[in-house]
Amino acid sequence: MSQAISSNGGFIIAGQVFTSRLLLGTGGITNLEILDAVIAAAEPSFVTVAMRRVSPEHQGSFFEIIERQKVPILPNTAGCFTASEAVLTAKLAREALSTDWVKLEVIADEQSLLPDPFELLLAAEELIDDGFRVLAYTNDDPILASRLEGVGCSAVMPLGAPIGTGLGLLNPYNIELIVANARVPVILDAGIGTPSDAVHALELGCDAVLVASAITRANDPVSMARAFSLGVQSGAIAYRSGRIPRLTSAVPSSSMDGRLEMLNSVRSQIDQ
Amino acid sequence: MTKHNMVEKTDGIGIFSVVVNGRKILSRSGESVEELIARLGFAGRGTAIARNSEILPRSSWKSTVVVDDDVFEVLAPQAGG
Repeated sequence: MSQAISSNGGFIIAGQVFTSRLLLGTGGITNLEILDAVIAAAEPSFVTVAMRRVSPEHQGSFFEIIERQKVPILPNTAGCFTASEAVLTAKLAREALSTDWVKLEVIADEQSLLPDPFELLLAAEELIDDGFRVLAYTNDDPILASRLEGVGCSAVMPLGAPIGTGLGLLNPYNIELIVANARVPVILDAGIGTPSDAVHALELGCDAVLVASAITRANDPVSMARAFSLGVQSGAIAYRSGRIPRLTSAVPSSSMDGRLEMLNSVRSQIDQ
Repeated sequence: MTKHNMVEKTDGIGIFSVVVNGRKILSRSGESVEELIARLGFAGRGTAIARNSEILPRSSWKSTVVVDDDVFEVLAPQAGG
């Protein structure tokens, strides 16, 4: 976890304290009627939104629901393939939502959905120069994460696994390296399938996780949102509590002193 | 709005095409961006516009007149991310 831990156990991005370590992605939500309940159950620090071309039939309801919930909205640049697309999308989001915060996504292709590191870095620099608070969705690459921090990103968001896969943390060693080097919050993003993955990320020292599909595509999204809310709390407490080291041989948890000894064992000791 | 009824409405005067969200749309001389967006049903809350890749603040929609070959991107927040 970054050094930016507030006194109440929350974490700080760009000077702003967040008590919830869960960011809720709304991608994959198919039923707007349950979105209210999902947000209430998740108690997220942010709700993400994508910026998309308007069509009359899509106007209104989604935006009204998230606005009513009074949860900070974090627009993203999902679906952008180049720095210029991402920059324009971020500026449109700033105009639409009156926020200079953005989750920056620049993906390389539609198959892998993996970030394009070169375009990502270009876009980050341009947006930061323009006054944006950039939370950068990045590969699980410690060097790239460091470069993103170096150009002024407010948080780095390494993926656990490719978007939508639910595979969990494929490279926990790299995530640990990113956490160890970062002086800005690390928010694990993408690949989380179940609350234990979120706990894992928090136990590795990530400040928060962003979860979308694992909640929105669950059989019961509201219940799963609650499970994730509890999971991130557990993971953060566990990290602060300090886990025991992993050992390759057994260590008794009970003292051997004062244990009873069966008759045969006692006689053999006396005979000696 | 179809090309046919657009021509009828404007009586064939000063008609040109622009692109809105990747679709060719007919406009007419003097039409403001605000009028164009309202006509297309795109003027909801949370809407933002880029005109020729530059942000057009909402405060300028009324005073900005659409011109030939303008390209608009009209975006709003949707579920995603």
